[in-house]
Amino acid sequence: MIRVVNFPFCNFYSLERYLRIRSHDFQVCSPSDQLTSNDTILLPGVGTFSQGMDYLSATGLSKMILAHVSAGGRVVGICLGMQMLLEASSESPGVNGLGLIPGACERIPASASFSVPHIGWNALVLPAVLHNSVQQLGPSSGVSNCDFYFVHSFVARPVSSDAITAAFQHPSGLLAAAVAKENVIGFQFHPEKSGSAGYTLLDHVLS
Amino acid sequence: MKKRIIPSILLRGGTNVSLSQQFTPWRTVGALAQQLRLHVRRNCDELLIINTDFAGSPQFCCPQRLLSLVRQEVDIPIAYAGGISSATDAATCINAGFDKVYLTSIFLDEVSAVSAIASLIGSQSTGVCLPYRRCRNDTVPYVWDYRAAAIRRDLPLFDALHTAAAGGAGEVLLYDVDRDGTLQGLDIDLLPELEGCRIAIPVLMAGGAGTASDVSAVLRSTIVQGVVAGSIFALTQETPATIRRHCENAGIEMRRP
Repeated sequence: MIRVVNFPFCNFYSLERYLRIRSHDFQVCSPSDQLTSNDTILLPGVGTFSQGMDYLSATGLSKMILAHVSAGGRVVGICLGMQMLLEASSESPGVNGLGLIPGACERIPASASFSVPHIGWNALVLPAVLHNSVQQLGPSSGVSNCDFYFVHSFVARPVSSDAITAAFQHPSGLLAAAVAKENVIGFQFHPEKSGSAGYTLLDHVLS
Repeated sequence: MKKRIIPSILLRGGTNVSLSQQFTPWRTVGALAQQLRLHVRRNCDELLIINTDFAGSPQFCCPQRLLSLVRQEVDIPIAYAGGISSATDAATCINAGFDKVYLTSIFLDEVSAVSAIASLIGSQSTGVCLPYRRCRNDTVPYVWDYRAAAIRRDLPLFDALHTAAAGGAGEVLLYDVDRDGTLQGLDIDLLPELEGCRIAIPVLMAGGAGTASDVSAVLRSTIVQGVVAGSIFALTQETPATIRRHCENAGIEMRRP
């Protein structure tokens, strides 16, 4: 079963469309849900880091997510949902993230040749060495030949570069487009808004 | 960054889709469901719905029929414009399935509201649309207030552009009112000043695209990240794919669908 966190403001209906079209069994996540390790929590998000974390804390969902991961369950974060997987963000100093992936989010470096916010379609750059785990974005994920839709101002900086499963090119170097650590997966871009390529990628991740 | 081709869908009278000329709806070309399907199937990069029924209205409303069609038909980014005047209105749009909102009236009336909206939904989801015109014998473009059908002499376009960026907008759409619906080409005269204005956020242009060459002429600019267009997709043979191909051949980096 897929459980979707429905923030007061988020891209819920975009994800709902994907889940409905692909006939996934899903429901909105509630703090009282009894989850099993076979369940996947989908964590979307639009807005600021503090608003997202405030909501997760106030509703008790942050504890539930942490317990689910500890029990071996899977969490997939998208956009702000991905950023909240890390420990902090310079967007909201002093606000703790879920801390499931060591590291923090920082504003995308300013550059004359790269507008911020980063809005639009971009290619993914895959790490040269793909680690042997299910969440890695190998060729079967369909990411190599298509572009994906980004809309963000902050970017994840995991402590370990091994946590970066895909990147995008920035004038300062490669920046994280997707992160993963064991059963925790995050996408900075929006696969649910990236047309058929995005749907194929989500199929790969949620299969 | 890959440059974007963004069809605009002008709604008038519920879910009827119109073309406009100089910011005035003039011809109905179909229904929303059909237009959404067409543009998604043609692999456009984004969509922009401009709801003229509520533009400038004090009471915001996003009709249920519109929302259900967007949720049903669209798997690409889509933005909404028309009567958004508060953070609550903007959050309603985002919750309903839109990725971005564009603001005009509220920007002209109360810039601080743009900051409030960006604080809630994020600047990356907050766009400002600036319709503009030039006065006769004057090369300076000024913002045009569509509600009063009047040029705002107190608001030169580039001042407004900087104000929008400083106010929290994450993207700005510069819309040439005089070229709107004419198919006579986008406003390339704007490019030199745009290149020199040191604006950090993405800038889109609209108004006048009639050929693929018109589009590539402005997308060559490092500042312009996309072109919004309506009539070209209804009145010519061009599609997002043909324009994208032309731009790629011109050396412009475009999305791989």
